[in-house]
Amino acid sequence: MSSRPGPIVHRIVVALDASPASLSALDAAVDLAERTQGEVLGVFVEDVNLVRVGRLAFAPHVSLPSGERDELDEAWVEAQLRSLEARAGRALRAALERTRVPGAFRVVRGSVTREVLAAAGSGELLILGCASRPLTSRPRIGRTARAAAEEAVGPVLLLPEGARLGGPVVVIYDIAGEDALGASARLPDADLLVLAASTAPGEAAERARRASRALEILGVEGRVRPVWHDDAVRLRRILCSEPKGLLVVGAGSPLLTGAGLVSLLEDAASAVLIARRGKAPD
Amino acid sequence: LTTEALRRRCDPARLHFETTAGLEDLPEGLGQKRAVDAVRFGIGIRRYGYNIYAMGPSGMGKHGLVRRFLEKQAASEPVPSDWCYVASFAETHKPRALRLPPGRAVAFRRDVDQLVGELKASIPTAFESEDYRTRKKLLESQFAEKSERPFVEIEREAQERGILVVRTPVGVALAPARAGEAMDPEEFLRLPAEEQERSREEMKRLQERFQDAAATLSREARRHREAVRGLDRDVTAFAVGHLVDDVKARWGDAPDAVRHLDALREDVLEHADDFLEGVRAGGGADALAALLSRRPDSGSFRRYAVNVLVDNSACSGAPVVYDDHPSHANLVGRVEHLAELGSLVTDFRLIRAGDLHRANGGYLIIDARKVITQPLAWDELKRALRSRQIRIESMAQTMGLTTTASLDPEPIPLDLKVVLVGERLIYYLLAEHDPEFLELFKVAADFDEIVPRDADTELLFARLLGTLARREGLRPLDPGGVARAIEHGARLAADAERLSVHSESLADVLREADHVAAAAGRPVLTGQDVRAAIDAQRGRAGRLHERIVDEIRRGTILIDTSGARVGQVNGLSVLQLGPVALGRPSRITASVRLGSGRVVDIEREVELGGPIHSKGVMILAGFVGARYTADRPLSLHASLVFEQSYSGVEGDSASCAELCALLSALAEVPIRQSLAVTGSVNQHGEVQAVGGVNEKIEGFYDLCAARGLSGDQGVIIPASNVKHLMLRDDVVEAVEVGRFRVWGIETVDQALELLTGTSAGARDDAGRFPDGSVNQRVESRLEALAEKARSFGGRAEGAAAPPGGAEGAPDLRR
Repeated sequence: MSSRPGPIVHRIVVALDASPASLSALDAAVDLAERTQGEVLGVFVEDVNLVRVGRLAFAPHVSLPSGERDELDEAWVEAQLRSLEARAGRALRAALERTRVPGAFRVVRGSVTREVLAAAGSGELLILGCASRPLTSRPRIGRTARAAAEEAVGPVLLLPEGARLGGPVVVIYDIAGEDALGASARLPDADLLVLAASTAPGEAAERARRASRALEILGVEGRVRPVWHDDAVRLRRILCSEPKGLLVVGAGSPLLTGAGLVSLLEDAASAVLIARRGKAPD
Repeated sequence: LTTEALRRRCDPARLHFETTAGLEDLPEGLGQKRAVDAVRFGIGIRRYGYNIYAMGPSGMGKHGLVRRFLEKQAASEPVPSDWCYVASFAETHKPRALRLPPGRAVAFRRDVDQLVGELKASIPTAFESEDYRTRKKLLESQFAEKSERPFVEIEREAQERGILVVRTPVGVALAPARAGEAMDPEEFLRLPAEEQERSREEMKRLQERFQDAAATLSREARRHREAVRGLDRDVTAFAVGHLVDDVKARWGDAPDAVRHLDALREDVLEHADDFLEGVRAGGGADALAALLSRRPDSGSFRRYAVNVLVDNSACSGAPVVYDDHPSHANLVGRVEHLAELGSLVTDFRLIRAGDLHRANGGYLIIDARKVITQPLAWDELKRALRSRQIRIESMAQTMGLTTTASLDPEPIPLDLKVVLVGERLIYYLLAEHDPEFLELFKVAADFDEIVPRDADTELLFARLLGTLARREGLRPLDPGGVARAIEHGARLAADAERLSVHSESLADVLREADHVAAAAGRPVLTGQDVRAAIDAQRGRAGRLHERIVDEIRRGTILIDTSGARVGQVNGLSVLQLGPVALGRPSRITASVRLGSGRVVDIEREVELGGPIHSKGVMILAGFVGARYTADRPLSLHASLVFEQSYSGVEGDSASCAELCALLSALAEVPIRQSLAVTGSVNQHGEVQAVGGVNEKIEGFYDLCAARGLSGDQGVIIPASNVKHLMLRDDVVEAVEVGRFRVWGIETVDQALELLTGTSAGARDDAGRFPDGSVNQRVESRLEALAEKARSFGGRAEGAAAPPGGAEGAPDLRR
């Protein structure tokens, strides 16, 4: 007898800095919380480094992309932070009112990475927008997103700018596939496509059989397809050709090693959920 | 006059056919050889300005005849080109005209629509292809590599030098770092001075490097955009090229189509993003923003539409178009507008063809009166014919009244023949007052409404009646019906030796006769039916005539039809009221007394007489002076008047009657009031033809008949008018039984003898009139008046000679 697991999250933590990417992440968080009857905690971190730069009267500053040089002052930095904070708070309140999802807005001052990871501990899922304030037009993974992907204790959902949740959920069932499949099974109303990936054809088929059994045990419907690939690059290309709204990868997947996460976000052009067995929320 | 002279009858026995159903059509009309030759000539000559003016009275059937000719000719001519308007991608306000093979414009529109539809699918597909994504990713990677490397290197170097790069909302800032975080100012100030200075120098140097990197980024970004644009263009060209080439291959025989397809391909290459809008843009606010920012002919696929202006696919020859409402816009076409978001917008798809477009390559028939009365239509028609091209402008643009930006469609070459159909008066007015008219309408086709009447034309007339009956879906005529219609034709022509071929009038009679025959259940139109129709027409128009006769009979209008009176005669006039002409008797009186040779026309004195009437009175004064007082002053003051005339009198047809009244007054010889007189007179006393003689006789006859025909009554007419007599049957029948009479005279003396019953008298060898004759009495009276004048010492009333006039000569000032 199988039993479908309950929703993955009750509390979603979303990092807000008023950038377009973080506002996309907010939309995704509220949407997910609405479907799972969860709540949203918005965290705005006042970057302590920025505050200190403002206090260093001599700290040089270069505007981008114009290249104009100037110097910051504390008042300007504080005003900018207040403005960003207000925008982030307004966006959160508007989203919560629109969806009637419960939630809260928290402002903390400190190291952005450290504070976001700390806040993530109070929820089951951390959602982050990628490519905030890029130097170039290329999608970038900021320090915070990279640190969260690697160090967060629970699952992390990364949203490249412009990506939206919705559509099929593609699950990578590789050596870390159990984590990925377990997280996917908790997504509400997900249209699952499980790619049983291996560099050996026979192993891919065997892995597909295991995935099917796992789905059956979890009581979740989904399609399973064995995918044989030479390497991670080839697998990312295969992923590109799949229509999807969300890609679910286990935290221990070879796809994420090295610059894999960046490449995955670039190539897949969709949200990526890095699944790992988390601890209970604080 | 005998009854044969009063109405020239047509003998049905001479018409050797059963009914007109067995007669051939008369497609060229009757008696129109001159006009038909002119039309043929005008159609045949393909030179500038040889357009046709078909002139003649309305209702002649000119339009139908011209149209039949043109359609016959046009059927053997090639079908002209189709025309479309398309967007001009280079100059959006100047839509381009495309000439396409006949009947294929709609197919071209379909091909282009299909092409655009395929482009909508193929371009996004090309941009979603693995190949494109790979190439674009490569470009982006190269760009990222080139643009990011300096920043990465600077950040690494900064880290090595103990400097932290901090992202700000608008750029990057540099700060001295410790343990990966920016130092507090207090902490920094606790550093040794050398350390602080080194940090400041490092930060300054790194700041400069960031500036250089920003410049590099800007340069690389520009190069990257160009490279991406080039890639997009290549991919689009690949997606578009073969599709456009396929369509071009089908339109190789249409150079304009090929040119447009080439231009379309270039435009698609420039605007590939339009085809990706669905892929890249969202809905809602984006869609609204797109709508608000969109111009009618850009930023959307509307620019690739094909507006079929002229589609000749249904034509089997050159077109023949009749413009029933030749307004400015209906002639040259127009640019319509749509209300969109509170303003009026337009584009090339709203260009509408005019009749010049539709008739281009063929023939256009226009009513002359309509085109010259429509504002600016005549000027625009001439401009098009002169320039040989159709330029679509609104009236406001033509008049320079608007400066609003609008479309300026490319003019279309014009090659057509215009046939104006109208009255002669309009032709002559245009010829007189419009210097361009004769240059542009060199061919005048003059349609004659009257043809000579003989045995041959009577038979042709029968064919004409048969043609009209067939065309109108009426019963055919039997010989009796035709004979009656021929007599009616002669009456319409007001000439026993002529026939009117005014087809509308004839068709009216046939339609109404058909109505009568239908009621009687007859399968053909007989003479009885035609006569009934004619009588009914007359009856419907007879209210005024009956009223006049009634008022005369009741004594309100004083006209005697019996007895004799001095200086009083019954004249006859014709009232023309619209299509109705009716004869009306008028009492003309003359009075004489001593004077200085002045014959006063009272109508003229009170400005109720026209110049021709005055001329007639002056002529009779000249006659009196020359005949009776050639060697002595005319010591007479006479006045002539139309009694109970309260409106204008024009024409000289009463001058004979006036002269008779004057001579009666002078001779003091009474005139028989049972007679009426019409005819003009010249200075030699000869009586000349006048118009409306039939109506005049019938008018007096009706009065006499109302009072009771006595056998003494009758009408005196000029002998030269006898050939015009086509009197009503009842008049002819009255004459036949001796109850009414008509006389034809050549001289005023004949009139005097008939009116007075007294010999007029001719001068003998001694130059004297016989005693007792009217002329002798007149002469004697004038001699007596001259003597009296002499005895008054030439101071008779009105004796002052007119300026430049000879003493004793008639006063001709009136």
